[in-house]
Amino acid sequence: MKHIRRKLTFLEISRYIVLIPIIAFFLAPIFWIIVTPFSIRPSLAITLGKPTLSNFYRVFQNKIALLAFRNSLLISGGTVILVTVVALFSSYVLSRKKFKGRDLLLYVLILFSSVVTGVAAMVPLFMLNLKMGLIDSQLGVILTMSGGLLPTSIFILKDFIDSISITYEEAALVDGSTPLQVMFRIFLPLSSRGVIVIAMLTFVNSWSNFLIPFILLRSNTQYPISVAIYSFFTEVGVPDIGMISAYSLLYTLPVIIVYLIVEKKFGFSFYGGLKA
Amino acid sequence: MFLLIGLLAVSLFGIKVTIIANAVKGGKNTQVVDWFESFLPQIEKDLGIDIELIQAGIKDEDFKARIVLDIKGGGGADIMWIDGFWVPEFVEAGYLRPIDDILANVPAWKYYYDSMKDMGSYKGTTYLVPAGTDVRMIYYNKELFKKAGLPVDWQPRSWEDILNAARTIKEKLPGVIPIQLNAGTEMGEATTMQGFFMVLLGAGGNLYDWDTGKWVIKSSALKDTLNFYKTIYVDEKLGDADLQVSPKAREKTFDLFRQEKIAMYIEGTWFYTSVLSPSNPSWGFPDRDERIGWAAMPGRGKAGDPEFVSISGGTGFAVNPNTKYPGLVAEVLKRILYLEPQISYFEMKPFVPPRSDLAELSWTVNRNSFIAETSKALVKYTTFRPGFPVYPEISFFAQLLTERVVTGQMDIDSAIEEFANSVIDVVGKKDVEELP
Amino acid sequence: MQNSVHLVGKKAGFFFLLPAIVLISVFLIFPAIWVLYIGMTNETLTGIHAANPEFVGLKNFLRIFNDKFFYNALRISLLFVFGSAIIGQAGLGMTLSLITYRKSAKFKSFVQSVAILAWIIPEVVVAYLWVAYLDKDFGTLNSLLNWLGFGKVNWFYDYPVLSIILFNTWRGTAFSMLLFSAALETIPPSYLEAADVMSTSTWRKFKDIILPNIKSYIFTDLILITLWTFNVFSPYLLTHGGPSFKTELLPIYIYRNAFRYFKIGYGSAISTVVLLINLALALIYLRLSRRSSK
Repeated sequence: MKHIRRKLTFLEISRYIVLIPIIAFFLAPIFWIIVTPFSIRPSLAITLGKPTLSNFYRVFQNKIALLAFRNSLLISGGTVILVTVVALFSSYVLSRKKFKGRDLLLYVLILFSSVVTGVAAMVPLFMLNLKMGLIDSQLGVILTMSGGLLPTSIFILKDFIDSISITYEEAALVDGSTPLQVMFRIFLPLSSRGVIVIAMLTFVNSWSNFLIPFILLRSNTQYPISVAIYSFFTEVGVPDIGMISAYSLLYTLPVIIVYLIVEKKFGFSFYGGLKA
Repeated sequence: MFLLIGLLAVSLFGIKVTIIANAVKGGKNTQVVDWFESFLPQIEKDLGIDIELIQAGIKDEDFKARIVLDIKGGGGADIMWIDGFWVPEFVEAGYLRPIDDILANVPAWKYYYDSMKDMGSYKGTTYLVPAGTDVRMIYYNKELFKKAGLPVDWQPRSWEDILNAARTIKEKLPGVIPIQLNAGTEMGEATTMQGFFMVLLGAGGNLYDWDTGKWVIKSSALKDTLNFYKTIYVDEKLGDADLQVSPKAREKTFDLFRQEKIAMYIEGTWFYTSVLSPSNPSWGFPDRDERIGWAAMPGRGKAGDPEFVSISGGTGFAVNPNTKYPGLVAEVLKRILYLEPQISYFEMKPFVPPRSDLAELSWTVNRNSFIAETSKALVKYTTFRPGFPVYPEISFFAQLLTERVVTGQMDIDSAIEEFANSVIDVVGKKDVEELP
Repeated sequence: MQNSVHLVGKKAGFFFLLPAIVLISVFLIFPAIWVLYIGMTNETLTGIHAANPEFVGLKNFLRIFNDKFFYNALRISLLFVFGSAIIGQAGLGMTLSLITYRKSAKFKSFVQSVAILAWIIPEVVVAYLWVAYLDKDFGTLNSLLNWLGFGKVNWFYDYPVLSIILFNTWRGTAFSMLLFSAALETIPPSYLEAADVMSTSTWRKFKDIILPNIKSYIFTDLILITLWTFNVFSPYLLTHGGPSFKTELLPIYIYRNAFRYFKIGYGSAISTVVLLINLALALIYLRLSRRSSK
């Protein structure tokens, strides 16, 4: 008895000895974004002083900054919905109808998506959207980003679905449900964990994406935050740190909020069942 | 003729002419926006059209990418305010419309200096109307000089004079970087122009031999240039080599100059009129005119070397080949180039005038003593970069060359060897030469 | 379980797949193949080859293999992937998942949130954070080290690769942590309880019970993060690939060629090479994972 207890204590202590520096490692860099937006003399150094809201004030006065927020929400929202729905339907099929080379196909698609999200694809993507008349439209951005994010989402979701027993659908079909009803009434709730995962992944990726909106959009009023934030220079072309840091904080908040909501409702232990 | 067609079109449809500039209200180059807003409405009224200013306000290289993509996609603004040294590569790609015909109807064009006209042209055709140009020189902090016992009205006459001043600073004012001579790839074209060329020209050398039409890949002038860099950055540590290669190097040097931790900085007109301007919250000196002095950059000091050197660049207005209304663009451009808006632009953001009617105005331009003095002193010595499509690539190799030497990564001979090979790779063996 | 019977019927199945097929073909496969094609031309965005690009076959690839900068980027990328993905993210992720294994939900939640925070903050913001954090003169880390009695370190200049490895580890650990955490959940608790009763050492618990059961998850994790890390671009925002190209990863090298110098032919060819490298790595992982599951 005593023997086990001592071992436990040693394990416990070593857990914390390892954990605390790791937590510090993760939290330390974040300090800057918490302090600087409220600083009177914002710079790359952390200057503690009397907090001020003047930086935020300037952000709210900037029309482009506010429009960019709307654009980001539109683009990310659209992409999340599109990817989630399409991925759900396709992963279902790919999971239930296994074929040879399925995994390899998905890997190849994921590899392609890494090419397409790189700079080299800049011209093809531009010309593609141009020919389709989608330049300077949010739709073009949404479609293009979705194309790139789908393979990974399908790949992840497929594993979740693999783990859902097929008996549910069998029962539903026996009862006479149509395929669509099976999807939405049975399937969606069962795979909600996986759907949340890919929705979150897609949201985070699309919220941050700079290159695609930069290439495809033309007007100041269409840019999302990821691009607009680069235009906050002072007159000599030096980054306006006060505005950028305040704007960055505001830019980060929606993501954190989404995360907290998801965490609360679902508890973030994803990957219910996974097969490589 | 164009005008007639243009006006006809106007009377039938609502016509819009667009101008794009890398400026945004409240942000980068905000004065440009203010300037346009001050006189464009009048032009709109005169011509009965709409003129839209498309504001960008982004990094220079992003702006270039944007313009390229715009034009390539068949669109883009009618009038583009671009950097002069993009002209050759843009022309070869078919991105600029020749404007000799337009300029025939612009009366102000006759006042532009020949050298300026050359800057905006390529292979004999004009593509760009220079908006302003600049010269380059050594800026020095008079206060620091005073403290170190150096003359406040300093004018070096050779490289050795510069080095001696630097040595004095190093000795008398530890903690102050004696000289900032741009080096490395991080600062991009600022290295080639304010650093590399200013030294190379002083040794009587050049990147391009105008007489033979070849790129100079090796010469004693080149070697001496790198020796100068090496003396400063490696041998005597009169400059900070680490600084040159750190991210955001240029901004950092501006910071340090403002903090009075750099005594001498070789830079251009824009540095004085914009960066150090008392109205600039980040880097401006409230007492700039008294505190910061300028001296012409001397040549190397050997017999036959140039007395002083300078190199100029500039931006200007170019026309999109996709434009639907060349006639109207001509009319708009003509009015932008009237003397009056040019004067008001000068007052907002002083520049070296590219045209004689502007330069000779005693009651504005000459009132800005800095511009007047520097123009008088340096325009006669100044030269321009070789206007060829491959220049940007060769410029990069020159930056890399300085980087390798000042960081000690390579010795001078190996670095020059690499440079030579890179240039040969790009232009071919036929178009290079080695000079004694 | 009937494998081939499509429960929702062939027609429904086809329509279910259609949107994905369309989107992926148009916006993914088509541009990707276009890139592969451009890699065989000398197309540039400005200059004469913008107006008249020529097909040059494999010439770009030959240039790549003779390019010092390519090998520099390759070396740095390999180091980077090994350091920040395999050791960093996977290692740290595994550590964190083990630490929170079989602990209270609150504890787990707290630890995970901290790592996730680093993962979800937008790229642009994160870049500023880390530039501020690691700056030589006034960075947070150096201020801390100074306060603890150590000297200031010029992170970006003296330890450039280490700096970006730290950065990317910080950034991406959350994914591995979450994946391994879920993997650990799939181990039937009875195994470990039995081990507890038998007073097995922690190390043996790990080696004999945990590891064998989550092997497939480890492979999945490694392959995904290797691929992602190979293609990550954000270190550019910190170091611009410097000082002196010492942190120029392959994606940054591509960026420099395709975006700065507008040499999209060359840049696309490099992209193709990177794609092939990633493919090779993926195949290696697949082979290893299949072998170990036999």
